[in-house]
Amino acid sequence: MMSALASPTMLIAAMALFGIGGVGAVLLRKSDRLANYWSSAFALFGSVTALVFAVSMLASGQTFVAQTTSDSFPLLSFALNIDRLAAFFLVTISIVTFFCSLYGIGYIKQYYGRYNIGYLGFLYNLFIVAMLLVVTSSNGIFFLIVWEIMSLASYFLVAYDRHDPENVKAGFLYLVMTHIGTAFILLAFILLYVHTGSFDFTVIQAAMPTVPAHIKDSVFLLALIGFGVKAGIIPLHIWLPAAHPAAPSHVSAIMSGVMIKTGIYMMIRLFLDVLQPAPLWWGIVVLVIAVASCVLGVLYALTEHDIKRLLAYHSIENIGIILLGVGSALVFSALGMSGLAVLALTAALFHTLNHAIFKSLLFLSAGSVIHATGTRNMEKYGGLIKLMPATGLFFLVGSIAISALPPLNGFFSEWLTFQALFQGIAQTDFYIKWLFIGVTAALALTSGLAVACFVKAFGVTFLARPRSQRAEKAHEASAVMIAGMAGLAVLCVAVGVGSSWIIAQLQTIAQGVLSAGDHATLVTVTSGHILSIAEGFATVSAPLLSLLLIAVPLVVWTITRFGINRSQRVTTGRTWDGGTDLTSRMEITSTGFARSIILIFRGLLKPSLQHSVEYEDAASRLIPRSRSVTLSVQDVYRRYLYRPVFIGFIHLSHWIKNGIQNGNINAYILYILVVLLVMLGLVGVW
Amino acid sequence: MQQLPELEVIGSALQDNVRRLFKGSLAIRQIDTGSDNATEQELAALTNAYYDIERFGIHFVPSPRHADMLLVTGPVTRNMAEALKRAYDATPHPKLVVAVGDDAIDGGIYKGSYAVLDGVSQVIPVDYQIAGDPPSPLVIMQSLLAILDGAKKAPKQKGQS
Amino acid sequence: MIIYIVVGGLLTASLLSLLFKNRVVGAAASIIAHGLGLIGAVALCLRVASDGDYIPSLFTLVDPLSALTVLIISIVGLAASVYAAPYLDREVSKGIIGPKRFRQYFGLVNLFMACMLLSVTAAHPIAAWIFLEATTLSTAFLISFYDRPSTIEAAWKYLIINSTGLLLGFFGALLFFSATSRSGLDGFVTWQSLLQQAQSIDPGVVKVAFVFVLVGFGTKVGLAPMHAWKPDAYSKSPAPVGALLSGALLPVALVTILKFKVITDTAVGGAFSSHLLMVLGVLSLLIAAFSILTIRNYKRMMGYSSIEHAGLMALGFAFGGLGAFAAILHLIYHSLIKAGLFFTAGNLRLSFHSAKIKNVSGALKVVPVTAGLFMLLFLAATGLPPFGIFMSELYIFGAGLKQYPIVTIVALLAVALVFVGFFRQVSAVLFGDPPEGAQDAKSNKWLLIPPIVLLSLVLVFSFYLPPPLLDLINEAVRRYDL
Repeated sequence: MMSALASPTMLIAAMALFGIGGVGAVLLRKSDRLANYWSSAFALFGSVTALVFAVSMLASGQTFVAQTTSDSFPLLSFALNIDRLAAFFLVTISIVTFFCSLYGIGYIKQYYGRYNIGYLGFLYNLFIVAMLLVVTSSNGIFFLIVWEIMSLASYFLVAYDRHDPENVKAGFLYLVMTHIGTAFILLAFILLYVHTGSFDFTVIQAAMPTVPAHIKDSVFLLALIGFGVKAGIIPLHIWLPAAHPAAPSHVSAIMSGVMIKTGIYMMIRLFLDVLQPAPLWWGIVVLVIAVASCVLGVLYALTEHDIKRLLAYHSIENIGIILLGVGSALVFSALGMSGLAVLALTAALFHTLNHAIFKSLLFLSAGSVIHATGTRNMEKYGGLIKLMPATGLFFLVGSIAISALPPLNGFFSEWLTFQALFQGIAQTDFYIKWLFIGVTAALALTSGLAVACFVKAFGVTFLARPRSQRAEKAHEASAVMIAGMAGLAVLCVAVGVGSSWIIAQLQTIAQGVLSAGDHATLVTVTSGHILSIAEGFATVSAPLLSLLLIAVPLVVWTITRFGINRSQRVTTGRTWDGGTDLTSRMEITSTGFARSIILIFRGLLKPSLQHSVEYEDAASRLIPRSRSVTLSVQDVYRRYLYRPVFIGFIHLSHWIKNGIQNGNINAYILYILVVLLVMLGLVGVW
Repeated sequence: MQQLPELEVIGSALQDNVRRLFKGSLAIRQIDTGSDNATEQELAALTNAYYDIERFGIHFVPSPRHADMLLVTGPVTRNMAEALKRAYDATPHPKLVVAVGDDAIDGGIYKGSYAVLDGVSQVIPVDYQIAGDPPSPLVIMQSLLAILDGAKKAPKQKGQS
Repeated sequence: MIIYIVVGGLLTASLLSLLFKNRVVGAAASIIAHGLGLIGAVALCLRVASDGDYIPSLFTLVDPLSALTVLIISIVGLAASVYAAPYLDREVSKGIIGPKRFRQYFGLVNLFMACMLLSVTAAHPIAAWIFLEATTLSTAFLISFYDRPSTIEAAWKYLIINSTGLLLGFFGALLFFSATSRSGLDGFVTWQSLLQQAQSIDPGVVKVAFVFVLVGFGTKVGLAPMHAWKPDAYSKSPAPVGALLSGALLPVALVTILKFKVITDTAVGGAFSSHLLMVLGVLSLLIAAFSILTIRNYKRMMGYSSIEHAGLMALGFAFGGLGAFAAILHLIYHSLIKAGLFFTAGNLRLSFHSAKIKNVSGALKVVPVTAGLFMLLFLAATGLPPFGIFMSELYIFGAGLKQYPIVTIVALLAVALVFVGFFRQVSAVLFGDPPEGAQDAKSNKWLLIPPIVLLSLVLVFSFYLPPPLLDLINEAVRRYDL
């Protein structure tokens, strides 16, 4: 039974289901409803099939390798290599796509009649298939092909809602950035090909000892930039906060939840697997980038009042946290501490899984809110928990998980990351020790700010009173949308409670990647599901913690209800409002909430404060009609990095184009003559 | 400055009552329902250095949520009626409502005006009244003493209802 | 014989369209002649793939590379004539051109095709040159087709620059002959006999001769900095002519350079010609990349895109090995894609009445099918998978990186920049709100079928190269890459 489920037929079946879903949707495009149901249903089936396949691959522990070389094209082979790491990413992707597809059935309805649902279904399915192939391919060319298809499909999804020029711009930025990233990846692979003679990962890995160190370093840097663009590390992230909000929410969830993880996957695959052994400085570079991404990511998130941009910045933050694990693993394995490397990589993998779950949950619930209110501006929300309690609950679950509060899943992976860093402090020598101390401090700061940010996000969105008419008329999401969110919310809790078991599984995956034996086991799960790091350096028990967290409020409630206040009664009246009616203008806004933190970090964030007053009478300026304060944060990367480069290119372009193509035919003839003379001169040289 | 001898006497009696009834601290929320501010002057005088009512355990609080007692002044203008009702609702049980000044009792000099509702009792149930236009601080203190003397068991019973 | 029949058919069609007043006759005859041409080309390819060189007479020599080129220009030619009929018909009905022009078009375009076929299959270098020069004449009229001052200026520039270039090319070809004179070569000189004697000819003269040939025929290819005629000629000529210039004439000229290159390489080694090609290739890439970034006319953009691709092919042939294989692949893909792009650009022009990017927006709303095709063809042209140009570019870079890392990296960045620029313009054209007066031109499905067919062909060739085609490419690489 197990072998049947783990057979490649299942994978092919999954791809075929997605294919049928995509092509069928195009054929059924005349009917919006049919196209939607068809594509979503097949995406669901495909996700389930892929999930079953990947889980049974993990359970059986086998590796599946397949290779078909192309007759027409040299060097290209359709090579698949599904080891534990790939299977793990398959699991992550298919879980998220399953729930997003479910949610999509309801969410897509708003596009009926406005856009072609058939093409949405096609692109959606194509996008998922490409992602599945990205994490399973083991030939550089094949990988690049599916990688670009993934980028293209997601570009079309980002620009799907094309009537809004902002979305078109976001799509442009996204595809340009990702294409530049691909150019770097291409160069990295070609460099490897030139020195190993193949694009196949296995061949490259085998030939690695013969590759000179400076080539490996170049490949590392090129790949770091290339995959860093996709993963959204700072300062290559600028597409991310633009593109994620633009896409339909269930696609944003997939992009943010899993697509950016494909960048992480390839970093793990290359740096920790194919290119091993790696020098120490690789790990340090990754750690530095990780710190920048997580601290700046969360700070920018705090300044946002567009709910999806806020979530997008949190993706950058969480990518940073994952990279902390990856970077530590690189450092440890360079120092020969394979046990610690396994621990760090386990933390990274676990956070990858967790972030995929809670971030897609958050994007989906944000999507419901946007669907209900018609805006992404958090200042226009408020009080939504009364109108959409289910969505509010799920958003709360996601918020708790992303804020790393026990007993949800985010806590455990962040705890594990902390443990890896603590071990780094404890067991390394002077310089590396201080590096780890700094990194740990940065992670601690990040966690604290993340909590603040989600207090803001949840409070401003769901609590208090509606701040706009649309928010007053908000409605709960439809049943399928709730089902999609509920599934992910349950997973958040389940993965948290069952974290000790999952961590044990992930540890085997990490050991497989790092080719470390069983002796490299730092995480042990003792009876009673107590997770223990390095023989009792730190312990945590998820079930116990959960029990405690359920028990404590219960006990407190019992005591207060039956012990202390027996003779008192509770009455529910209106909120004390000082005698005047409460209005939404009295509430704290998103900007107001974040203001103090923004001002603390003003050196980094460069905020600008604008006061503007509009007068009743412009001449006398006595009676103001309205006053407004705008607190905005500049995008320093765009302003100081991307914009100048772009403008420089534009100037250069004008200069070259108008200089050369000046319309003067004499000049054109002159070019020919000059080139002729120069070349004749070169005859003597070459 | 010469202290009134009665002040200390009334004060310590008040303090005993406050200690006995309110575990040493009586929180008062004062509500101005459109008063001419005469009564406010007198109430404000209670907290000045001369009377310094806080030393007897009585203090004015900014929110009815914290109050044991509402001191309502003014004839209750139409605009303030709703606010008064809400303040009353916002005060937790058990609570005492005291109308201070003639205006608050029945409208006083404003009685019959189209703009006022002629007294606090028209809007919320009033437990006690302190007459005078305005009552002097000492009168207020004496009245409070009388109220607390009379309310030995009453607050608790009201709370049960 | 096949070649002569095909050429005969084309000439007949040319005559028919000029003689008969009825427009349909000329168009139908042209399409039939081109269809026959394509069948002939396929037959020719199959024959060359199985039996080797096809030498029907002393004047004609079809080797694998020529056969491939014949196939490419036949496909593009057929597509262009199928597209031209409804396109020109619509222009006639809009009053842009008179009915007489319609007939003149088919008269000239058949001549143009015949000249290209003869040039690429000619056994004698001078004959190849003569027919290539002959294309200049027929195309000059096609470029000035609309008879406006701007189109006449473009045609004039085209004529002057190309004549200058071809004169240099002619001189180069003659130098090759003079270099061989002392080796006792006499009688009728063919490419083959020239190649056989190549070992014994004077290296110094060959180098000089190749420089002249490269600059001369490079002008026709449109390698920078001899490219200056291209943007004007492409933007002012009718869409099907642009397709032919880019998709058919460019390969013919490039193949002629290759034929001289192999002789040069035999005589003086491969490094010399490679270095020269590399210089021109990188220059073309850079100039094209930077020009496209701020281009204001989407048909001019096509011109620069052709320059870019010519540069890439030059690099591929310069790198050799896998690069040469990739360059030939690139040649095939580029012709098909670029012709398709010209057709969709023609459709856009018909709908928006302007080739200026600022006048065209919201194409997805007005002409969704054309816009979608334009997008896909753009992606294909800029080398995004799954389209084949991705593979050929990857091979070219892979072939060059080890020996010429800087050239390769510059080329890679230039290609990325081309994508950015191209995408910027495509975005502006496709999205947004359409201007007033834009109307859907899709009513004639024959305006859409040629680009769709070309795109499908590219897609098929991107995944699967039929064995005869692959054999031809491999054989061509073996012959032309030393």
